[in-house]
Amino acid sequence: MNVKSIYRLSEGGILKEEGEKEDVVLTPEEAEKRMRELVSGGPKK
Amino acid sequence: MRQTPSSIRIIASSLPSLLEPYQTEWSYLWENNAIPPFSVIQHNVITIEAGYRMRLKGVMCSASIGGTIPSDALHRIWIVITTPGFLGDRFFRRTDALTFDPSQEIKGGHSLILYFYNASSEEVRVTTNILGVKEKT
Repeated sequence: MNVKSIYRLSEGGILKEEGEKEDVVLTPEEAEKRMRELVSGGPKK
Repeated sequence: MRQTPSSIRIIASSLPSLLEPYQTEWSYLWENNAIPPFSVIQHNVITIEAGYRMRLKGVMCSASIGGTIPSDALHRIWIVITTPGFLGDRFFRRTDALTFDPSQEIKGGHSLILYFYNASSEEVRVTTNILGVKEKT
């Protein structure tokens, strides 16, 4: 993750963090397969 | 597989608050300006550190074309929490809001991941805001 700026304001107790992430582009079929693996604990062997 | 950049903003606040000292308000804003037509985007939101847990309170999302025209296509968003496995999905046009009552818990070491399906024939921009309370265990 590329974090642009981080603010720590101790008086207000606020942490603010801004940045960028890379999102993955998938086909609907790939996405469904990934989701099922995630909620079932990993790829089927 | 290819990747597309998105921007995020995370705000965590402990004061002022009605929360207990071990709790922190948490919000996460995700914006992706270029989701291709008929594609799904996977966005990894957060992995909770050991010793903490997240109480997920709500999710708001909207989809637009160019950031100005609401997208009238029927989009779909999935909220995935890794094992032991929570998978919730919603279809929506333009905008939607979802609240968890009682809260959906994410335990330490587990992750929250969003998937968004752009069912439009045009590239869309999606904005999602996630609200929760993070607390020490």
